[in-house]
Amino acid sequence: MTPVSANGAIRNGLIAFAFLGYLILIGIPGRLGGSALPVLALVAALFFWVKLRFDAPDTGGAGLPGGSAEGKPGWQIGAPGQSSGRGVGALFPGRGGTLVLRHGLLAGVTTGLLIAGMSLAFASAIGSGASIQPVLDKIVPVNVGALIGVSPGQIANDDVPLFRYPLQVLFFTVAGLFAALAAVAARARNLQTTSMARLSAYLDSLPFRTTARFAGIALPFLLLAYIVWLGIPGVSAFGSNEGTVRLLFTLIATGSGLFAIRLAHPGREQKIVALLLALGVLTMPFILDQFQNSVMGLVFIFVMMGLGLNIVVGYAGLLDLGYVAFFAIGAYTYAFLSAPFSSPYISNLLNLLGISPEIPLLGYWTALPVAMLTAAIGGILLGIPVLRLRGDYLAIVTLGFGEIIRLFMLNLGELTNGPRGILEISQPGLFGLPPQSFSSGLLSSQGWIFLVALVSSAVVAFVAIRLNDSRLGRAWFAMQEDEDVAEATGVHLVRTKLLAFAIGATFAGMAGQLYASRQINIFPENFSLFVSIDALALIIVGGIGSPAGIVLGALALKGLPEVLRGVDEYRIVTFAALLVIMMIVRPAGILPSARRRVQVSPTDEQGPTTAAEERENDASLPAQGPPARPEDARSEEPA
Amino acid sequence: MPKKLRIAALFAVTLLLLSACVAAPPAAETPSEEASMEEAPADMSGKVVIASGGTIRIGGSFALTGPIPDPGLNIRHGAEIAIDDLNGAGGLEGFMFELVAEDGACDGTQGTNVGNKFAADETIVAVTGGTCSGETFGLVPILQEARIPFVSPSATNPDITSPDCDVCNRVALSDALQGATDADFVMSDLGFTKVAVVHDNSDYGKGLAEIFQSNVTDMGGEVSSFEGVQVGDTDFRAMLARVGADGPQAVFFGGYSTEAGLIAQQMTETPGLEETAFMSVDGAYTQQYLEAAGDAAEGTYVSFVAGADSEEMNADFDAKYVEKYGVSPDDLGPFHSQSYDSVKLIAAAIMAVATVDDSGNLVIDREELISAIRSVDAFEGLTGTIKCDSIGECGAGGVQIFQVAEGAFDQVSGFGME
Amino acid sequence: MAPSRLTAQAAGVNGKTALRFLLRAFGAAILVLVIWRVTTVGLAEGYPASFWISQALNGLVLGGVYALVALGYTLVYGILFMINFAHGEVMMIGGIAGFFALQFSQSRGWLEGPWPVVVVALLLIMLFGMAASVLIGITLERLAYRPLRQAPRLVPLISAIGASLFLQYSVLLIFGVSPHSYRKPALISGGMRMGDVFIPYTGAIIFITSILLMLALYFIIQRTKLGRAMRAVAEDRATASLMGVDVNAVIVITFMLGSALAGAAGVMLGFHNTVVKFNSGFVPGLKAFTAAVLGGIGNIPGAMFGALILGLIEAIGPSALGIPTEYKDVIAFTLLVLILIFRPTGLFGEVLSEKKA
Repeated sequence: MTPVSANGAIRNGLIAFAFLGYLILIGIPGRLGGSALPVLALVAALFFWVKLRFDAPDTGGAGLPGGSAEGKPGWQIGAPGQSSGRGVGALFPGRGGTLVLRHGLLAGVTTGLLIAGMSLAFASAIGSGASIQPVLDKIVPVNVGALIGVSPGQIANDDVPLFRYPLQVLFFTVAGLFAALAAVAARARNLQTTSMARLSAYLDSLPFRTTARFAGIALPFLLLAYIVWLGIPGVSAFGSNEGTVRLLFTLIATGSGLFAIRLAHPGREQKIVALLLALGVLTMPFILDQFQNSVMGLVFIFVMMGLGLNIVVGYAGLLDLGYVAFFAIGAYTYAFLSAPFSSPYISNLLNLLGISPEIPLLGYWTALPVAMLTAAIGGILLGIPVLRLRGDYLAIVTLGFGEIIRLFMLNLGELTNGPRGILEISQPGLFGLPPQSFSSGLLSSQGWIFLVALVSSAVVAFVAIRLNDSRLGRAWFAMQEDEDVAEATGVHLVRTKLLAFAIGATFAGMAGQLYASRQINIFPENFSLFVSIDALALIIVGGIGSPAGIVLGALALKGLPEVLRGVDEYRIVTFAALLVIMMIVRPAGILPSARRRVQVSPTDEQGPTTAAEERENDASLPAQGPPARPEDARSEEPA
Repeated sequence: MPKKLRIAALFAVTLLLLSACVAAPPAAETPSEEASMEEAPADMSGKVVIASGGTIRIGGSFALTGPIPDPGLNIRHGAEIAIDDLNGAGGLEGFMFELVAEDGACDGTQGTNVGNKFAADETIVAVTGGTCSGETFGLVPILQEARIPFVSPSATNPDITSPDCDVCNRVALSDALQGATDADFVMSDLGFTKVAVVHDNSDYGKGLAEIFQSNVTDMGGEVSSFEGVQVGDTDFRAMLARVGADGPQAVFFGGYSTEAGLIAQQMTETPGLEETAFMSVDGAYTQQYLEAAGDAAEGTYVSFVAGADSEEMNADFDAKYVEKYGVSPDDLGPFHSQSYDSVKLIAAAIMAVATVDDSGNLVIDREELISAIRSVDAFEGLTGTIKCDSIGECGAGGVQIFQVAEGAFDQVSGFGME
Repeated sequence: MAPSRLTAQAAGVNGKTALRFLLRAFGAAILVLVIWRVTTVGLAEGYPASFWISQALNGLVLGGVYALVALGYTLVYGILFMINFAHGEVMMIGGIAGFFALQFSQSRGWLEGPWPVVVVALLLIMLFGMAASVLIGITLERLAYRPLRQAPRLVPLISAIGASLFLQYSVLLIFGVSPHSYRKPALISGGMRMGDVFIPYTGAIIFITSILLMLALYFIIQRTKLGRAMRAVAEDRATASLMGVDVNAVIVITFMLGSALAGAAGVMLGFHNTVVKFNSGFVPGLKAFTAAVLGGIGNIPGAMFGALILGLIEAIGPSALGIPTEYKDVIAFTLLVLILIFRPTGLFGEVLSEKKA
């Protein structure tokens, strides 16, 4: 047992080093400045703690870590893996305490030695004038200095006191020990077995549930009030990034509102909560500042996109990676109709009809049906050739379609003005008036866009939900389950598929039109593959098939990166890592749809019901994720 | 339970109503800036007031991610050095300058977001950027509405400045001049009559290519082919084979450095183009171009927009740059000196209009600042003596043509030679 | 995935035939248009034969690169039924690692020596690139995909997209934004000249290597015990594990093989096109995925032929149709649609059972 544990400890130390090394390479210590070393040690301690908490029993049991075949019957018949956790945990207090401490110590020392060695190497290389920088971009004196705890000048002049390196080792050793102590203490008090049960019993008790429910319902309102309070001049949140903080609270308020509706009892209570929330959200465009409004506007434009894509992917089960095409069609249609630029083709046509091409043809609202119709036609045109394709073949063809549309926009310069885009697209008005004129200054132009986006997405959501409950929705669902059987039971496949494409495209066209008027100037580059990926990612993160989940997904995917603006260059890495972790922790999305929760992993091949599927099934717990399995805990950290 | 709920609901409604009432005043104040477009503001809303001890915040929209992060980072560095220099010289009346850098990602959507963020922040005095023209088009309408002037170091699209936009300025020269000069050089100096034009399908590259093309045609030359590639492509052999089949005397490429270098290199492998002259534009006036092209860079032409820069100032800038970032500015791409100049230009305009009021606050009037930038005359920058015209073209100097000789750019024609 | 005959007989015959007629008509219309365009415009320009030959060679080289990456896609897909969207980034990391190995070899002067030394050094560089790719590939599998093996199909796709972005921007942060330029050693720079046709050495190496690696892979899968295990896992994971196949090991080895191929492609592409940077894996990755689907995803010769066809079409297509080269991707994707209309599972795709598709 001991040798395995020692190996495990060194392995943990190595993993921690790999993760910290990554942070060092991307220049995090330089950003943290003087507090870099303690923060890194804290990160290591957290990692060790998580590992010890969920992983240590494993080292005693299954031999090779991760060797058990994911709950699949592997070498040994019977359920592998699952039994070991509690059993060894129960044995633990006997003689395990020192073992855990030793484990933590060893892991900490390993990490510490490696980090110290790495910093020594960097420091001496920089000190001796070797040019590291062209190779490793972020290994500059500032970064290494922060890591060792000395000034950049000392690094550059190669006079780092030698005791600094043992000090680094010490930091991480202490981190390992602390983590181990925390883990042992938790075990000694038997948290693992009984108190979890006690806790869950308490969580199940009626008073707690009632309180939690009310707290959950009240949360969005409290947040809204806080947002309002933040808007008062002179009130500041946390330092200079106030706009971002307020935006974050706005995102959380909107998101928690969805949970609040879910927490409320169905019936009148739910209706009241929903109504109040709707009112609250409708006041937001008036309260928020321009930046927050513009981000929220984008979020709700993507909600519309998501709702449309959800019809294609979530309801009808057709994987569409080229959804941006319809978004682009909507945007460009509106641009043609409302911007001063007019292609020679269109101008000639207009002259033939006796209309002056100088003035915008249609306003926002009159152009809406045109944009929707054009997008729908685009949807049908795409739909016809791909009718017989399924799965990934469909995915790549739709992706190609999206690219084709973008390339046409880029290269048909005479029609679309090519990469120089279409400029000065007009804004939506209300009865022909610009929004500022009738709201007496309460509503900025971005707030107006947000309001329009909000109302439009509410309409789209209503239509989508009604469609899902209709005969057509059931036909889509049947088609998603099994096309052949669906056809055999009387679903007209061609019509059903084309309708899915057309309706999905219509919503995207609406979103595209609003997007064009939000942007004022649009370019083909705004409609790259990444928009499709964003739209797909947001419905999956939110919970495929569920409109509420889509709102959450849009908040997370389009709103969060704006909040992360403070960490500018680390924005995308953070976002990407969160995406992966999110998928691992909650594969069904944040708020999965009811229908999804009932069905058991529809597209998967027939495997035994496994942990992942079970997790998917009990994913109705809204707030916290289900208990992580060892694999999850391990994968989360270094990702 | 229902009773409790009703109480809770009542509580929530009250809260909401209260919040709506409280919210009104601040929301009403901020948009009043929009109204100031027509009438000159008399109150403080058209002014930035910086309490003593505060900083003068200049926004910066840089393409730090997206398709071409290289020049974006370089431009940001240039701006940072300008801020350092300004503060090193004592700032303005004891007020220090601060750069608020945001990632515009070379993309219109991000540009809009950044613009809105600046517009929402009342402490932002002016903006430097955006890096790409698309990103800048995202900024334009928003900053125009918010009355925040900007100076772009590198957005060269001719449409960025216009008589309609009084906050739009740039120190980059409009592509129109460069395209015309390049065409003139190829036709008159080199004496070619049949050229092929290639572009990278960016608004910048294609814009330049089209200007070049129309100039060549106007001067009686023949454009044998007009082809596009994509930013990020690395294999141009098929496209070049086709260009080569038409037998041009020169190939002109509008785009950025990596693609330019690769095209120059792959031309040496293309039948019909081994000896053909190659010319590219200011996006390729970089070390990266030389590296990507390798030996094939020898003898190729690159045009660049520069001014009568003083050697001294530039050497000083380069030294500071190397000291701060560990690389030579030219390693990362062009436009760092334009970026430096744009920040210094903004600062000069701010210094011209800022006043210190009785309570020691620094007051900057937005409308005055907007016109102050336009009236900048004889400002000594890295790129030369800068003078802004009535539509915001502040580019200094002119177009220079370089030829690569022994791995370095060697000026052969253009501005500063006569 | 062609509708099985049984159901077609059982119901909806009218819809099916109408649909098929519609599709065929659509396809035929495009074909007629293409032929008309080629004969009237493309051939009318009168390019010499050498032009077409060099374009074809360009296309084959391009196809060779796509093939190496597409093989990785197809391997993983064949066994896990998931699209490893980050595969292009695995290739890019191979290229970056190869760049550093090249720098190292150059600083040691290995590349100026006699040709056997240079060849060994080049092979070592390639091995180093492959090793880096393999490392990243198995890390990806372990962290981002293994926990999701039982999840619905879209979930690993999103995870893979996240991983792809993560890898790209990590490379950007760690190694900086500047592209890394490969300096070709004298041995492989330049090329053969045959009349008006020029073949770069690097291009020839790519094409030959990709064929050799494809054959080796085919041999491994069809003839070795490991290959049999892989095919068994692809067929039915649960049953394979009951028969004593270590499913996890097989999947890891699959990722290793695919990543090694991608790494080799990355290094060779680095030598061929001389520039590697953080996003240089994305477009080839996308194209390779297209190629894999074109050939019938999951099928190894299919991926190879799909890639070569795609490369050829991209190189020849615009000239043959007499349209600007910007439209090469449009042509490639249109070809994909056309082929999938007539063969919905790709050129060589077997008719998979519905559950897998």
